[in-house]
Amino acid sequence: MTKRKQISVVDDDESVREALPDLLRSFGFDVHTFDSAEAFLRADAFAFSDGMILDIAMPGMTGPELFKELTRRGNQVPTIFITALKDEVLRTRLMKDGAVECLFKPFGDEELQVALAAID
Amino acid sequence: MEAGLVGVLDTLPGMVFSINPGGVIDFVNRALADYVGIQFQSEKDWNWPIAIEHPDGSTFHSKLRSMLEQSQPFQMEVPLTFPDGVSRSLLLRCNPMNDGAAERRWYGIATECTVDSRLRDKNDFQRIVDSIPVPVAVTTTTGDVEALNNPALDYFGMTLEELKNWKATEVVHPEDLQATIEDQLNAHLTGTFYNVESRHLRHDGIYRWHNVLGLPLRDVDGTILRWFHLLVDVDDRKRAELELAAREREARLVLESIPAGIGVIGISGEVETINGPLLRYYGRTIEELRDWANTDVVHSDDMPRMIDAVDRAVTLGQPYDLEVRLRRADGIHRWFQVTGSPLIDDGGRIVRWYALHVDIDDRKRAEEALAERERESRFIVDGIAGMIAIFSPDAKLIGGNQQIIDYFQRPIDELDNWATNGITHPDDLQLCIDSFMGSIETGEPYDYETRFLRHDGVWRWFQLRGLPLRNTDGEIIRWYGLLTDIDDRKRTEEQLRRSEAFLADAQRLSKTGSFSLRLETSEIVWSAETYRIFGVDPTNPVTLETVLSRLDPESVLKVCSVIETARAGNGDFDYDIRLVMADQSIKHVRVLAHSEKNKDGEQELTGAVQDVTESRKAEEAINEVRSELSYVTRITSLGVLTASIAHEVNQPLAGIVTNASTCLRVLNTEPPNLEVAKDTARRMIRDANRAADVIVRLRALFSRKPPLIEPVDMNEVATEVIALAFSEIQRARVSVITEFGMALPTVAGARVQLQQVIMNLLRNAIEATSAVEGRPARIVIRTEARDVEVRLIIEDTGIGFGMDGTKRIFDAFYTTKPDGMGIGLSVSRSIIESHSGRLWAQSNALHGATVGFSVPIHLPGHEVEGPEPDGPDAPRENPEKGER
Repeated sequence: MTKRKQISVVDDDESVREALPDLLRSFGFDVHTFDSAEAFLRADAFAFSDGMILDIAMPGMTGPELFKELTRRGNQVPTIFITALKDEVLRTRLMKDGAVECLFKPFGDEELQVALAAID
Repeated sequence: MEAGLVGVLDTLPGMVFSINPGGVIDFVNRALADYVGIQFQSEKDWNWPIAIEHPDGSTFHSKLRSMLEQSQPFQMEVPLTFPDGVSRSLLLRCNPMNDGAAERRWYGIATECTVDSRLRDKNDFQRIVDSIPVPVAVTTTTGDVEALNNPALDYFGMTLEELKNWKATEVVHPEDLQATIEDQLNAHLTGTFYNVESRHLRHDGIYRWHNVLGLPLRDVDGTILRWFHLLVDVDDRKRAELELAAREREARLVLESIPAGIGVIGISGEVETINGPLLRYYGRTIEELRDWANTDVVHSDDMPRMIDAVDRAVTLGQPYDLEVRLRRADGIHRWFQVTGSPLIDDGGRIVRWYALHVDIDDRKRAEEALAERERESRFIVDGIAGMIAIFSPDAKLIGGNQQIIDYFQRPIDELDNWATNGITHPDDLQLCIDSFMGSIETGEPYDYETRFLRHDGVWRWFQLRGLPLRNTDGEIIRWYGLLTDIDDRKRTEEQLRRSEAFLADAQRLSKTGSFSLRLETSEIVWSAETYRIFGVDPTNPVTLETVLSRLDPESVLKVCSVIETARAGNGDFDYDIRLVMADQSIKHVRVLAHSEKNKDGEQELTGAVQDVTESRKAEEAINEVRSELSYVTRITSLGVLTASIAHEVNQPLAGIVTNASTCLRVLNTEPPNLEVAKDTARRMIRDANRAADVIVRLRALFSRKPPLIEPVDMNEVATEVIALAFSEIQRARVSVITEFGMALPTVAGARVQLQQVIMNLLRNAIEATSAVEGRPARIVIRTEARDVEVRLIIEDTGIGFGMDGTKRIFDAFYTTKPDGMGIGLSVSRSIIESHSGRLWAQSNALHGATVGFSVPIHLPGHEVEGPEPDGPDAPRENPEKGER
């Protein structure tokens, strides 16, 4: 068996940071959580992240900005965006920019699993 | 020339010379060379030393040439200048040598010609003297008669021989002898000429006047040889002169004896003479009066005119005639008429001026007295502030004062045609004719008004009043008409009428009436509009009872109280009353009044009443609209809020779903992970409650139920709003800084409404801040407790309100945002006011604006329902925040 994949969860909402890791671990991932984009960058988390679940709306650097910054640095991490704001225009643009998926909260575990499958 | 011949010629006791065919002197003998002082050296060297200043000197050569051409013997004189400077002439006599040769030579001798010329001079002199048509005598230096010309011989009727024995005493008039001898003697002594007028005895025994001019004749050395005496007959002139002198003497006598002053002024203005009467009048001498312009003989008021007149006479030749006051010897001034006339000679030239001074003082005084009387009566007539017209009994205009002439600027006889010449206004003409002619017929005074055309084309109103003047028999002999200019009065009347109309219009349009109440007499005056407002017939007098009968009970009390106060003293009043109209409708009336003593010293209440019923209604309507607006705002905010709400709701939902999924998954494992399942279940409950809270608040926001007043933590509400606006803050890239006061007391308020206000203010701040570039986009939200209220202040670095925005931002629809509806702030203000709070806004000193509101703190027992107050730590100032 290969090494368990590392998923980073970046969200300012504590509910998400509490709930998602348990679900992801049940899927068989190792999980790191960050409450902001800046915290992710400070930890150089892209180095050990096989995938990232990234909230869009956060104080300070937003999800899309982090995504763009990583792309700029050439440190891309397969990213699944999550957002409480249902904005199809934004979703389309993010997908075009190379996001794996953009899920609107609340999302079911099957949707998440399908998206995570693309990271495997 | 041969030497032998030369020797002969040189030896000859005479002056010889030869001239070659070219006209050049080619030989001069020694005698000639010695005589002129120029030795002969060679041909072409020698020439006559001609005295060129002599008349013959300059022409000598040309004359000589023409002689030489004629090959005839000739003689001519040549004037020479000798080395000693003396000029003498030589007479040259030349003969041609006709030896058959083509070329002629000339031989000549030269002789001194002094004697000859003297002879000739003598002959010439005799000829000249004889040709002079007046007697000429030539005497020797000793006075002996040497010669006389023919006119002299004829005059005296004597021969030269007879006259040679002439003694001056015999031919010169004895009376003139002395002067003649003296003059001649004097002339002889000084060697100059003499000129004397004397009478000489003619052959017929009559003495005639001659002007005798004696001139000396000198020789070259200047020695007087003889005297010439020219006798010019001046008898006629002399006699005329003597006659004139006699006449002048006579005139002088006349001048001195006529009883008028006469001054004689020379052509350059100098005083020549002044006659006795005038000198005596002045009491001055002629010497004193020569400088008359600098004396006081002419009255100082008249002196400039006098000087001017004399100046003009002298410089321009203008005669003058003026009346001046002259100072008599005793110091009294009397009026004189001074007439200056020029004396003109035959050639038309002015010789002198005669100034006649005639005393006109008595006449002048009489004239002045008359003029004064006339002036006085004229003054009275002209002084009347009106035009006076005088008519004959048959209505003919026969006179008028200055004013009437000035007004029309036409002569009286033209004004007589007042009915036809256009000076009477066409609209008034019939009235004028009827009134005026009516009076002429009946003899009754007339009085009517009409417009007359002023000379400058302006019509002015006049009042015309006329009275007949009757003689003792009662017959009308004159009509006196007074025309009074009443145009200004008319105009003022018209203006007054118009401004009254304006005032009435203004009162009607503004629904404002005026009133006055004399507090002592209760006398009331109303304007037309006040009558209208009160619904009272304007023909009825107004009493206090009329006023009170229209008021509702509350207003009656108010008005009575005002009247009491006004009676007591001066004051201003501003109050509202309600009128109950006949149809039971209510009128809202605002009264502004002022009480003070009027000019008669009575206490008076004056003021304005304004019917504000409609504006009251409008106000109510506006209030209604405002609450509508408040609802609309909430709804329109919905679109924006939905996003935030969705975020707020979806967040816990996402938590629930994720937890539920996890829960299911961990329960399905073998063995089930119960610990994780329990955690997820707990989190689900928390998230579900969180979602429920959001829903509750939303329901409150969108329901139109009266809001629930409860104790509200302002910090909490603000935090929620920041959370709700989070995505907007993000989008706008604005940093929001919170400076929340610690342990604030709760306020009494409707949570959702306060939220809405904060949201409104925050969104305004976000929009204003995001619109600005070039400085940090920053919003500070501050809360603090102050006395019995809590404040929330939002400061931004945005675009501010603009120059005068602060005053207007609460006006409905005022906005600085291009796409805003501008209703936010006014609605927010009404919400805060309904909380008994205040909302304010101001521009910052540097950038942006500060908007804040305060809401009273919650006091236990005052709330309708809700949770218990926070307890012992309720109202407390934030110690870190000082006074601002």
